[in-house]
Amino acid sequence: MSGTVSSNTRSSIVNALVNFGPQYLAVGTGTGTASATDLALFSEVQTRVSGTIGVVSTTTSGDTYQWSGTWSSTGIQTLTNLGLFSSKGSPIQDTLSQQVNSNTQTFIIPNSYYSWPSSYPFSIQVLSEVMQVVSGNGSTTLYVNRGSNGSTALSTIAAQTPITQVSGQILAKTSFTGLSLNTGDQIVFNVNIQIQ
Amino acid sequence: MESISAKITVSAKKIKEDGTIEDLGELLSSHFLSKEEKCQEL
Repeated sequence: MSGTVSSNTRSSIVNALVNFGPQYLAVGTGTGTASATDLALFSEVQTRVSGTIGVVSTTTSGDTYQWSGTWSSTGIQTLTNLGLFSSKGSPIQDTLSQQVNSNTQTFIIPNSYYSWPSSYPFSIQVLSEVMQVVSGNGSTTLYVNRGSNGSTALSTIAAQTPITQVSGQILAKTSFTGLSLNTGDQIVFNVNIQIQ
Repeated sequence: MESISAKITVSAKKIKEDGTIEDLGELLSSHFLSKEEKCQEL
C-alpha cells in the first residue's frame, strides 16, 4: 500500500504554520535530546530573537516553512539546542536544591523559590520531564503534577539539575552536536520545517 | 494511510568580523520535534 499527501495539502499546512504568527529563536547550552513532549530548551541562554518567516519549496511547491534570523553570541559558549517559540520572554531558570527521589514525588525544592510565580498553575521542564506546578508552600517547596504533556516522570533527578519555566508555545525544537562560538560571533540561522 | 510528517533542518552561517560569511552547514541534529498538537488543529 502506498499513499501520499498532496502538494496542495502540504502547502496549506505550511500556510497554517505561517499564520501562527511571529516566532522567536531561543538557544540553549544544556545537555539532552529533543523530544516531542518538550516544552522548553535545555539551559536556555541570552534573549530570544525575532526573524523572518517565509515559505519555500523543497520537494513540492510551498511545502516548507522557513524561519531566518541572526543571533549574536555574548560569550564563549557551545550551543546544543534551539527552538522556535511564540513568546519573546525569557523563561525563569533555577536549579533543584534537593534531589527528586521517585517518579511519584509530588514536590520539588528549588534553590530560588521566590524567583517563581506565585500564581498557579504554570509548567516547568526538568531534563526530559515536563511538570505542572500547582501550588507552593510560600517559602521553599513547589507542588507539582509529574509527567505532564505526555512526558515520562523520572525516577530520580539529581540536586542542582536545571529547572526551566515554560515560556510561550514551542513550535519546534532541535538538539545537535555542539556549535562552539566566541564572544561577538554572529550566526545566521535558517530553520526549515518541511511537510511531507 | 500515509501520515503527514514534518522534517526539520537547521543550517547556520557565521558572519566573520571582516564581513565575510562562513557556511557552517546543516547542524547535525540528533532529534527533531514537530508540534504535533498544532498539526492536529490544521
